[in-house]
Amino acid sequence: MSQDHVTSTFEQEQEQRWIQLAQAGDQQAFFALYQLHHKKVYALCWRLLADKDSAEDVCQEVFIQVWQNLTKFRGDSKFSTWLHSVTSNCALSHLRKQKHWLKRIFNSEDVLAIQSASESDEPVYIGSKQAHQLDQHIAKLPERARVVFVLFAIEGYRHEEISQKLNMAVGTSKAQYHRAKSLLRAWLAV
Amino acid sequence: MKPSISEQQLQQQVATLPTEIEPQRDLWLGIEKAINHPSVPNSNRRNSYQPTLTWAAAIILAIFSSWYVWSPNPTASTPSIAQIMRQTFEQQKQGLLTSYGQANTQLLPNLMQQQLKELESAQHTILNALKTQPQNADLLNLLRFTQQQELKLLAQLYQPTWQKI
Repeated sequence: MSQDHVTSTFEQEQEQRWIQLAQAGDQQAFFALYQLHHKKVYALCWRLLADKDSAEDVCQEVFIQVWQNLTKFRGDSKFSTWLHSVTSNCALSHLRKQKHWLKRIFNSEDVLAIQSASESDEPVYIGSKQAHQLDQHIAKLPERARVVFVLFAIEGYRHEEISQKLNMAVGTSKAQYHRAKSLLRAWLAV
Repeated sequence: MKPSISEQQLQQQVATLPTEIEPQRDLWLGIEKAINHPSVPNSNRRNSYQPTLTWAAAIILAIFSSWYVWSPNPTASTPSIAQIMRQTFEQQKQGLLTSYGQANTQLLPNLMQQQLKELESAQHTILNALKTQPQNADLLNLLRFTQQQELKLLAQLYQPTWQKI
C-alpha cells in the first residue's frame, strides 16, 4: 500500500469524523471542515462572480447554508461534491438576484452601462496578489460566457447540466462556451 | 484575422489554474457569528462597519459628495468620492438605526428584508463598476439613488405606527 493511499484514506476518515461531529452540532469540527474546503469554495465563487467582495459574501453564505443543512447530508455522494453543488447554486443565485434588482431599479441602458464598466482592461487582483493570467481574462468575459466557461472547462460540468442550472438551451450553453473560448484565445495571444 | 492561441494551448492554461484561492479577509468570523446568532442579518457579517461617527460629519460629507457629482469640472481624486459616499451612507444608515434604538432588521417582514438585501446588492454592483470607471457621473448618481432608496425604506419601515396613521 503506498504512502499516498494511506494518507488519502486517513484524510477521508478524518473528514468523515468531522462531518459526523459537525452534524451533531460540534462547531470545532465544522471549523475543521471549513479550513479544509474554504479555499476551493472561494476559488469557485471568485471565478463565477468575478468580484472579490461578492465572492467573500457568497463563500460565507455557502458555509452558513452547509451548517444549517448538514443533517440532510447522508453521505450518498462525497462531501466535496455536495459542497461544490451548494457553492455553484449560491453563486448563481447571487448573480440572478443582482441582475434582477438592477433591472427593476434602472432601465436597460443603465444596466448595460454598469455591466460594461465592469469589463475593463485593468489588471485583476485577488487581495494584494495579481490573479493568474487566465483568471484575469476569465474575469473580463461577459457574464454568461464566463459562467459557462467556468462550469464547463474548469469545473467539468456537462452542457446539459449547465443548461439546467442556468435555465438556458443546451445549444446556448455550447455557443456561450465557444464565445468564451474565442475571446480568451485572442486575449491570451496579445 | 486576429492572432489567437490554439485550443490546446488554452487547455494547457486551464490545467495550470490554481484549484484553491485564499480569501483576503478572515471569513470564519462572520460565519461563526451567523451560525451562533441565526438572526444576524446578512449585512452584519462584514466586520468593517464602524457606526460611531456623528450626524454632523455625515451631513458635511453628503453635501460634499453631492457637490462633486454635479460639479462640471471635478478636481478631487474620484475613487475616494465613491468611498466617501459609501462611508457617508453607512454613517447615515447606522445613525438612523441607532435613533430607533439599534433596530433589528431581522424582525422586519421577509419581503422587506429581501428588498433591503437587494438594494445592498445593487449598491455593491455599482461600487464595483466605479472601481473601473471612477469618474463616471452616471454611476455616482446611480449609487446615490440606491443609497437614498435604502435610507427611505428604512425610515418608512421603522416609522412609529402612530405616525403612519
